[in-house]
Amino acid sequence: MRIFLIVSFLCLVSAPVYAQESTPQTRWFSDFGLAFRSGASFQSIAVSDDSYPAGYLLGPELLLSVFSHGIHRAVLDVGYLYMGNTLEKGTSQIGVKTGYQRFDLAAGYEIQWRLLVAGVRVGTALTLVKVATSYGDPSWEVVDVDGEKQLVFASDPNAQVEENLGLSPGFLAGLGVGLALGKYIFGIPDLLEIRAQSDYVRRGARNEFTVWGMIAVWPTRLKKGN
Amino acid sequence: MVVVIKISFSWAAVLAVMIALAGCRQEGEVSVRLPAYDPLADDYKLTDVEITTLDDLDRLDGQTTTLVGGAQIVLDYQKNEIDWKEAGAYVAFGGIKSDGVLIPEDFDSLAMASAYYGLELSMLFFEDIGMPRDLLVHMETYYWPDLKIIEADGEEIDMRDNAFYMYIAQNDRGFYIFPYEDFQWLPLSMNAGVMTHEYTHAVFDALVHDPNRGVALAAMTISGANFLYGLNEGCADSMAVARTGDPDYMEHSIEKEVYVVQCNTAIREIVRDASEEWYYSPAIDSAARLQPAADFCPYDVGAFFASLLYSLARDIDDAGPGPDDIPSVEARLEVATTLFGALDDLGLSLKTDFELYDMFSLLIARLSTQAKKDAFCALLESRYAMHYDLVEGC
Repeated sequence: MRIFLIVSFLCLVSAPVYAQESTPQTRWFSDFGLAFRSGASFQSIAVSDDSYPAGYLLGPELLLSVFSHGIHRAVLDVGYLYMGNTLEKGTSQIGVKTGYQRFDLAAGYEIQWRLLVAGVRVGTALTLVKVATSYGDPSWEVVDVDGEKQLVFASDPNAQVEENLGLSPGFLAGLGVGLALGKYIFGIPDLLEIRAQSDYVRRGARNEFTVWGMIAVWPTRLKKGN
Repeated sequence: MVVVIKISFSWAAVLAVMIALAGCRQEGEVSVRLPAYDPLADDYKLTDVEITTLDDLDRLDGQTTTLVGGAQIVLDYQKNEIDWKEAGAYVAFGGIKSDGVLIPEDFDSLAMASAYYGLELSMLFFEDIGMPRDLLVHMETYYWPDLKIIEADGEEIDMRDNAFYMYIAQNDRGFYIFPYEDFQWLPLSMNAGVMTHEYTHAVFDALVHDPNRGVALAAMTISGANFLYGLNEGCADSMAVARTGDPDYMEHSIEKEVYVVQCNTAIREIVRDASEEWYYSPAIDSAARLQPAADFCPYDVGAFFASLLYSLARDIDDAGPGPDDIPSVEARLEVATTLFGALDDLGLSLKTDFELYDMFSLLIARLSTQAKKDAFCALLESRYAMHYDLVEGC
């Protein structure tokens, strides 16, 4: 968490370098932007056809353009994703409920040429995992259904629940492509971008694929055209 | 500028560490929180246990077994063939650390790690009672495979609520754990007794069925094959009970008085309880002698055998029984060691017309003192009266 605070601080104090559009030059920490992303995540853990369902995700992202030269730029981004695929599985006696939230730290390379924005990134995904394991004796009764005995369970499992919270680090690699729309909508170059992105995250032996759409705003570029 | 560059290096270091952490494999001994049997409470409780034989925690791959997920198999009795549609792949265990203990992060990770742990305990138990580690080849454990059985009459069954050891050919030899459906209690993969039961089938296979040691199963008489099948189940139950100290270990997974099965001519509970006294009856005997091997239900012979050895452990228990009249660890180990040795002897002396009393004779020869031999003979005289006079050593 301390890492994020440091980055936020640096963003606030780093002053944008006002470059003339016609004279591309090298800049450090020239811009920062804010993004909102929303999409879907898929986990693959090679268990059976009865795999875990895809879940939605959404969250903010902080974008830093740390180096720019012409259409090239090096970026850092810090993102948070709420993973909406809370998993719940088990029998009436024992079960596990798991919720995920993900923090991304990624460095990447992007090009921005006319309308096009495209890039790759690599980094780490820290997944905050909350696990609730329940174990207990559910109340039940036996009923006759068409001559066959069946168990019917009460809704309250009368279980002891043990909750745990922990971080699981992962390797992240991503691709993105989008449009720089600021100039065409507001007449301000590079102000607004819309992107489609995808990530592959490897945690241990687990694979996770995420795809999302992102709207990014670069407030520090407001002065570029001045 | 200087500050910016410095922070950039810090970021690179953080990223490098995180990427390294994500990619590293954990080997050796790991502490994991799993459901484990508590003999005092006669129940399973979430307990911090040590798994010691893993080579790769993330894949649950180790010296005991390798977990495999996603296999798709068709067992076709019409064509008499097994067809692997999908071989499956390494599973992915997920867990978070809490106070140095790994907490499985989802149900399948909990179930898969439990299966590995149950099989590891079984392997270490067998090593304690004399099994050389190279007796068994390394085998896979297929977690929740999609197994479709096509019966001889064309009926198709999707396997559920079961776990078994299968050895048709070398490439399908392994342990199979199927999804739960009706059984809503402790999943079979988390039931340590069930895992030891299946592991014992593999040991029995290596000691007795191995064609290089004795006669091929196909060469046996109907009664010989049926008695051997029943003995196989009885040994599996006996070892499960001896290791766990839990005579009705199945009851944690399968509710009593709800699930029944037809066994030869009788309707009986699926759950077996070794602490119940079983007597060898004419019905058990005639079923084993007359029932075609394909239709023979081995569980009555097995339940009788397991009940007999459980009583033997009680009768030779110098330490005195523990809670709920469970025989002491020492007595259970002695019976298990004797049984393992007798199975080794059986593999080398197996006859095509094998009878249960052949096995009893081998057990008596293996018991370490005359007092223990006498105790076993007394049990056989009482519960196996029909063929007691054919047992050697009594």
